[in-house]
Amino acid sequence: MSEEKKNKRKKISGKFLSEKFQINSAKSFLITILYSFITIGLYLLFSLIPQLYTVVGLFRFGLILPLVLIPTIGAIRGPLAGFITGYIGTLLTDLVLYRVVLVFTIPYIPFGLLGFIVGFANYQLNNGKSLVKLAIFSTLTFLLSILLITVISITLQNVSLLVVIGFATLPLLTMGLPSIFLLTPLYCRLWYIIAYNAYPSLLNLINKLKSREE
Amino acid sequence: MIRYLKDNKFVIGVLVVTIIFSGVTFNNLPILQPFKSTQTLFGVTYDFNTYPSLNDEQIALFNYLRKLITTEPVNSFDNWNAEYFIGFLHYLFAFSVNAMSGMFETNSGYRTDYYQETAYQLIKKMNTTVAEFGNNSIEYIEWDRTTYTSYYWPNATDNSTLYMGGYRGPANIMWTAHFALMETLYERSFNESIFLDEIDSFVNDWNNSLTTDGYGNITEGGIWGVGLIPCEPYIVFAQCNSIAIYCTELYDSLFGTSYMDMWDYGLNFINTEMHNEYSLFVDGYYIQEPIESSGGMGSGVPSSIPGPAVNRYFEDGRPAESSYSNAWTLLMLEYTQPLKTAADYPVFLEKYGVDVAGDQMYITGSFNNPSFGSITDMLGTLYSCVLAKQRGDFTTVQRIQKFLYSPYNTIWSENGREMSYDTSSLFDFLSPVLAALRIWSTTPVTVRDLAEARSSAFWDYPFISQADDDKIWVYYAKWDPVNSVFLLNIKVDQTANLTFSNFNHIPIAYQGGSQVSSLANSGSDYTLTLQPGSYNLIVV
Repeated sequence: MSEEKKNKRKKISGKFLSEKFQINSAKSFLITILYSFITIGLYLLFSLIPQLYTVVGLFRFGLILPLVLIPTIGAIRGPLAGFITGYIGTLLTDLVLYRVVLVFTIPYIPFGLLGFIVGFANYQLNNGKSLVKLAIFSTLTFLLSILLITVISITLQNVSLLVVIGFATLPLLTMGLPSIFLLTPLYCRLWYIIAYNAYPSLLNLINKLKSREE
Repeated sequence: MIRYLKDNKFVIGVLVVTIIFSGVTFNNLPILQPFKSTQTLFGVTYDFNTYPSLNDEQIALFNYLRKLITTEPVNSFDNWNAEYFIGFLHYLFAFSVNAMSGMFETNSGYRTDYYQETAYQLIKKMNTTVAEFGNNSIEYIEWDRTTYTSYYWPNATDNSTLYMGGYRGPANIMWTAHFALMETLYERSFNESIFLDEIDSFVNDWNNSLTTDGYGNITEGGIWGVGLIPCEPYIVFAQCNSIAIYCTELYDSLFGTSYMDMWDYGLNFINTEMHNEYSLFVDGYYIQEPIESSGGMGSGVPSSIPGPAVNRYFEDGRPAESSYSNAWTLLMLEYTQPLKTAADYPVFLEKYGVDVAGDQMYITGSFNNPSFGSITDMLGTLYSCVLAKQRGDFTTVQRIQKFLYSPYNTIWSENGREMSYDTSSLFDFLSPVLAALRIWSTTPVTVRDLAEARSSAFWDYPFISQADDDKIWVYYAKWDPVNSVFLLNIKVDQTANLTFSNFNHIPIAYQGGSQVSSLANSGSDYTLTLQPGSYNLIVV
């Protein structure tokens, strides 16, 4: 392979990544960071809502509303926003609500990875098939996160195996997975309606009102 | 429309499934807080938001426990599903009185049979004897099943020396301290003077054990030379003695005595000899070679006696330790030595606390053998919850409670007055345990608060002496001695009567500055009739 081709490939891959990460310009970078921190704020707010659940035998069922924000922002604004929201959102929530930061912040990385990996694929949020892809991809990624959380809990956090299975792995499977599968496409579609329908309509309305006044 | 549905069939399908899925999760809704308002009457403002009150959950849990306690004879223990935990049941009775006393104190102006009968029945159940009830007695469960009945000091098998056996002492501080404290808390709450002789006899017996050789000769460190009293006749525990020490504090406060001096030697002993390298308490100290059964939960016999109990799982002779022992002792001794509890609490959390997630933690039974699943793990987690509340560490309370309670559905009785936890997936006995713990770790009164008696003037304050208890929810009922008004936050399910005693005039109940009702005269008392609804009343 000629030197020229290699350089071209490097340039393309660098461009691809900066576009994917939504940091290809200073403005884009700032918007990505802004989106991330707005979502982190939402994560905190959603964490204040008491979690509803029901127990059947040893299994707990319910929806974890804040968790879904992580793949949602990943799908909307790419891997960097997904990672920042997942990692800092969960970390900050623990710090603010429970005054605790778990072992060197490592247990928050699986949540960051959830947003990061989901953010790598392209989605059309107004397209049903694309939302199916998003739901499945988010669910599979979250399974990987659960695996990592389980391993980290047992090894770094020294949590008893029984407790890890009963209080971390199982609830994430029975509450986290349905939340991710069901709510990620809904959150994304809601975002699409707000960003591409409601918000432009509102702007239009405001402009019309302004022009009438003039 | 049809086209829209076709284009969005996945989103609509997911939305429908989400609504159905969410719909089945509404049986564990958070409890709403009682109605609270700010009112001004005759120029004085009363803010019910600032009064530490109960809530529906605590009252419904109490109703559940009350039903278990009062719907079986004192010598029956069938309501508790404690077949596999029978040795623990009577300590649930004892700690329940501790937990409920916080409710009694929150509503110190509500002294009907509703509270009093419940506490009385628990005391009666705790004191069921073999002579009266045979094997259906706590005496049998606590003592006669063991090998402790024939024990002597200093030679365990020499019956010419001092007798150590016996359910009611002198070497059963676990039961005697708990029982005496149940009675003392009862007298603190209700001032009936029905248990005074019995409490006196226990305190005097402890005084004799701690300051003499058992034959009446003054001896430093008492019979066993450690200033403490054994549970099993050959081992002393800080936690069991802490109940007796706390009881003595309350006794002195109630009767103006100074028996606390008898614990000086023992307190120094547990703070020095019964300490490990982290300044936390060791779990037991052997004063005598045990015969047959050896040691309490997890405690092994040391190579030389006297000496601290050793960890059974290590051969290096390291002292036995447990979270339940430390949490319990720090909790009960905070009134006596507040600085030590304040200093040890963070060390305790660091050594025993395990973070499951940001919002959940548990307390491992032993930091040498970290795990979760044993009785000691569970006990450590339970007592730590109450200790954390007392330390004002509500984040830890919240995190432990999330761990303890989230695996269970809440169950409400059909009439909506009782609540419990469905622990059938693990074991049913956990249900009353969790109910008592929830009350103990959430009511606005701590163990430390209850170590002091009420003022003598308190007993002349107006109070509710009778009421239709099963029709009302009393969140706050207290006489305000500064403004000479009775403050009552109450919800009424059905028309209910409340009888007030100790008013020396016809009182009038006000809400929002307006008169709700004047009370009807009945003998020397006055009756208030309330229609269904929520009230923040000022009774003048």
